[in-house]
Amino acid sequence: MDKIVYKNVSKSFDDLIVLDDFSLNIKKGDSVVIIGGSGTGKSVSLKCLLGLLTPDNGSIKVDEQETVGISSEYRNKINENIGMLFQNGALFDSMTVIENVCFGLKSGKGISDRKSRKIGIECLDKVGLDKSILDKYPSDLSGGMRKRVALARAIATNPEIILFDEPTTGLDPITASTIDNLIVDTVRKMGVTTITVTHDLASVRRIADRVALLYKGKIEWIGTVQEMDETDNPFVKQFINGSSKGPIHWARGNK
Amino acid sequence: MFNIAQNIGSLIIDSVEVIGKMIRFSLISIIGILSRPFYTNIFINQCINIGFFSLPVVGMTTLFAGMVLALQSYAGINPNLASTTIPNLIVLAITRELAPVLGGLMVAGRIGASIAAEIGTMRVTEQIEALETLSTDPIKYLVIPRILAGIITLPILVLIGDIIGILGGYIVSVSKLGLNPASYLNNTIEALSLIGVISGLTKASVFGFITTIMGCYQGYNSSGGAEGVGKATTNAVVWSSIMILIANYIITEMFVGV
Ligand SMILES: Nc1ncnc2c1ncn2[C@@H]1O[C@H](COP(=O)(O)OP(=O)(O)OP(=O)(O)O)[C@@H](O)[C@H]1O
Ligand SMILES: [Mg+2]
Repeated sequence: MDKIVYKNVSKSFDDLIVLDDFSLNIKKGDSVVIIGGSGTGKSVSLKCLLGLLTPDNGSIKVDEQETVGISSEYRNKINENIGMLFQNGALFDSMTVIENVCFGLKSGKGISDRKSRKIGIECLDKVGLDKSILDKYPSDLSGGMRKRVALARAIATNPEIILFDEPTTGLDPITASTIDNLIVDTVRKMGVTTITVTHDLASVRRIADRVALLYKGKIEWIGTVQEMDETDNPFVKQFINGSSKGPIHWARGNK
Repeated sequence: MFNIAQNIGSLIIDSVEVIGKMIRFSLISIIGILSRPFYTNIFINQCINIGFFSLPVVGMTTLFAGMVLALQSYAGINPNLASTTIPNLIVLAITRELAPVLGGLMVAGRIGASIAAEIGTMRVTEQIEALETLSTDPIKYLVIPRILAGIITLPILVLIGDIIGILGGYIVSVSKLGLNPASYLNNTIEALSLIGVISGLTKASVFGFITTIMGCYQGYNSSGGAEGVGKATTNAVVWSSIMILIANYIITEMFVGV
């Protein structure tokens, strides 16, 4: 069964076309990685799934239910089952680390203080953070620590779908691989469906069941890691070789 | 010439659009008050922040307003009538106008700006989006507690301001102008009218609503990083101050008509 289905989604900001006929099907328990140049709309595609941005056209289904244009109560219900790691963390800076991590448990799900604190500490442990930072504020942490706190917050509510927007950017290689393992574990052990946006090819190889290349508002290519290595698709080849020569010119003219 | 007309035209269209959005935002917030959940903790925190911590500012403002008023009115009247006229004038001016309007403007500067900056920062750093993904309605979580705190705490602040302002007038009248304390107090009590105090408190409540909704609206709709937040902050203070003055006239007319 397809857990998430994007069908012909388009999204523009004024005259900037970001998503144009974007379609993507994701099976339950799948780990899909979206790769693509900076500013091609990867974050926008995640935000459309959460209803933070409304597509101009097209449909996005979760568990075969339409999510575009639904009421805000219904949207809250759906979002209860989706965790999101924002690209820049988006931690609440008026709250401590533990309050951040437990927020969705307490405010969203109404779980008691003690129980949610226990879950929060477990989640922080999973991302490699210990108890010494529980009562610190996000502004007192390093960039990498903030990212990991945000990651803990995204997984704390135990959602069925988790969206990771550049989970390993700005982390050292060892922490990055710990985070990748965490993502793989969450998918394998808990059957969670994940979409991960990343620029890190090492990560892609570790976590992806399927890789999707976003270019000019569409999924230009999709396949497994092995297929990615073997494909003749010039876009994919250029991307994995990191070459400036090829069909892709995203610095300019990505419209 | 044509250019000017065009500019004015687009300014009017912009204003209408902003007013429309504001009204929509207010309605959504007011409707939100009626349904659960209600975040009591945040509401109490905001009452302390908006109400309690504004006390020094409002107190100072009304104290000096009362003191100045005593000096100024003494300069302009027959000294024989001073002990009846001055308390009358001070009570009337403080309770109906000066405490609510000056207090309201001070709070607009203090609270309007801080609400706009706080919510604006949350907007541009995606914290508001994060609230939504954690199944929390940002209007209920951020906006409603602040609006309610404004509506409820401003009248209390102004009531305290009334007392301090009248006291300021008394201190100057008795110690500096040499008026008789007993008859001054008597005249003050006689001059107090329920409708006057109530009209002042009604104003305060409306100003509390204006200030908080403006701060929230500007912050909520800010964009474009730190600069956008700065703009939202300025707009919140400017617009709430202007709207306070306009609302003051309208409410005064309603009460004077009574
Ligand atoms: N709320 C918004 N308002 C206006 N334009 C936006 C908004 N959000 C995104 N954009 C624009 O949409 C385009 C795609 O943005 P997006 O954040 O999805 O890029 P991205 O693929 O995630 O890039 P990166 O890898 O750098 O994070 C950008 O040109 C951006 O300026
Ligand atoms: Mg992005």
